[in-house]
Amino acid sequence: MVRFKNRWLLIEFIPCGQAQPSQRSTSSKQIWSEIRDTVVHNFGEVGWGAVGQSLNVKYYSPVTNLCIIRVARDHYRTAWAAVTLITSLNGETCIPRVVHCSGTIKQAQIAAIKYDRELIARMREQGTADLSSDKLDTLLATTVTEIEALQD
Amino acid sequence: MFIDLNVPFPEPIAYESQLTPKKQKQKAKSHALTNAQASTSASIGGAVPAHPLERLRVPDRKALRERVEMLIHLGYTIIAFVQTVQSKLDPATHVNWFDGGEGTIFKDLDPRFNGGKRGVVQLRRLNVVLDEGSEKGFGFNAQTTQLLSSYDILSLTPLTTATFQSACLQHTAPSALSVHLITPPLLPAPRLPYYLKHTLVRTALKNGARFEICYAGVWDEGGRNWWCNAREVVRAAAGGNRMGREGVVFSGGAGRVQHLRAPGDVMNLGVTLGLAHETGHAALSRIPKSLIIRAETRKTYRAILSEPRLVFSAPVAEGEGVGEGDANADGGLGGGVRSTMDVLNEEEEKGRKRGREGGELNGDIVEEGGDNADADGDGDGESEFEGKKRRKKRRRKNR
Repeated sequence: MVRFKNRWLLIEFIPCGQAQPSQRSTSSKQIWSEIRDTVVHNFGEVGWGAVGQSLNVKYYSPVTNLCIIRVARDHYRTAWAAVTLITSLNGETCIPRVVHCSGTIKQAQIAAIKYDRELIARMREQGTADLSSDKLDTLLATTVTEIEALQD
Repeated sequence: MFIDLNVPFPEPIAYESQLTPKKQKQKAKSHALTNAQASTSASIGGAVPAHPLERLRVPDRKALRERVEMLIHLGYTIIAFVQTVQSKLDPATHVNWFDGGEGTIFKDLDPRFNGGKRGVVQLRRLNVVLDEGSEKGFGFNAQTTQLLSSYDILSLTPLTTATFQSACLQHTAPSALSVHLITPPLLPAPRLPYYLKHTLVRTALKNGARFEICYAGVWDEGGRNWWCNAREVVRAAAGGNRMGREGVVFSGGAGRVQHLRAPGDVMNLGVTLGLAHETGHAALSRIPKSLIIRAETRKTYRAILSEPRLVFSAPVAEGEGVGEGDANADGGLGGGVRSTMDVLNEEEEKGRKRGREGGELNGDIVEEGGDNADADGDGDGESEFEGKKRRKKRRRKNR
């Protein structure tokens, strides 16, 4: 028996365009359907057939815009290209950026926590008005626990 | 270290006093013909602002800065702003959009000027779109040499078979006007307007020109054409086992922020186009880097990087005299090449360091004085010889 192998992609959706954060909240379900639409649009039904079975959005945080998805190893480049070709999420323009790509969820989690820390440190540096220092601390704590709680 | 050689520069406001009074109407006419946007920008009288940014409209300026900051955030270290000219370069009416910027645009974002803080090296590039009107020459001649020397990179976009042929054969030959980047039009038609003939492509590659693929075309009208044509370019320029399969350069060409992508994602798109993984990496880092250095050789005689010298190991006093004279001569000729090489190498080192340190945001201070010290140290024969050796090694690496 050969194990079924996966790739875990850590994606950041960098918001651009409007400066103020909008009220619309994106869920992981919407990300999944957005990826499906771009795969079908760019790679057709066959491409979706190769990717769709294993595509899974494991984690998404609307505050830090971080997302972890899982795809089968054979066709992860198709899924990655589709993610790159996304221009808007839930009606908002964004730049998707694959921060890390790994073979196990453990490494994806480690990379996600590391990048999460960086993001929140950057938020603190910029001094966002509605997020005080305490709030950022709790945000960091909750996101880290959320990421650590991910299961295969 | 990642390089984006195509960042479109917004069109500045045309000032009357930039031109001689006689040519005003011609200029306005040619602009109206070549660029639909130009019709909205009526020429304005008065003094021309010294800095290129001050000649832009305010929203354009803001958008450009936003784009550059996003490029820094995505991890690029060198970018090139592009001025596009249609059909023909007219030395009488041509206005260099980057005049007065001292070789860069955002001084506070350029590590060459801001004391080594994080930022991108900003270069200037001229792109000429060649159509039927430019088959009999498009103004790359002895008269425009002075004009073109203020650009770091020259590139061509041939639209017809004849211009593609001349671009590959004549204009890539080493001279003060040699072109280092050929950008086939990927969007307008499902097929390229000409066949990328092997002999032509091979000659261009041999002369050191590279073919460019701008990824921002995927989102424009005609994304399907983009996939076909980009595959064709990859097949012709980077397929087979020719020239180490390294004929393609990836670059942005994104006029809007949301069309920028991180280098890793662009590499993955390259894999989708049929490029090998490491070639895709080189197409964003190593190949454009050596292209920039090669473009610097436009300023030297027949693309020679530095002039060969005889070093005598005779009396010290005499050696010193000779060495000093040579150092001066070299400073005039190869100084620009060397300083760019130093900046590139430092950037690469910094990038590596940043990668190792992980979340460190501020890089170390660049030693700007490095190349100056090198030139001064050329005084006695011994260190001069060593410096030459070092340079030689570096050159080999950069190839």
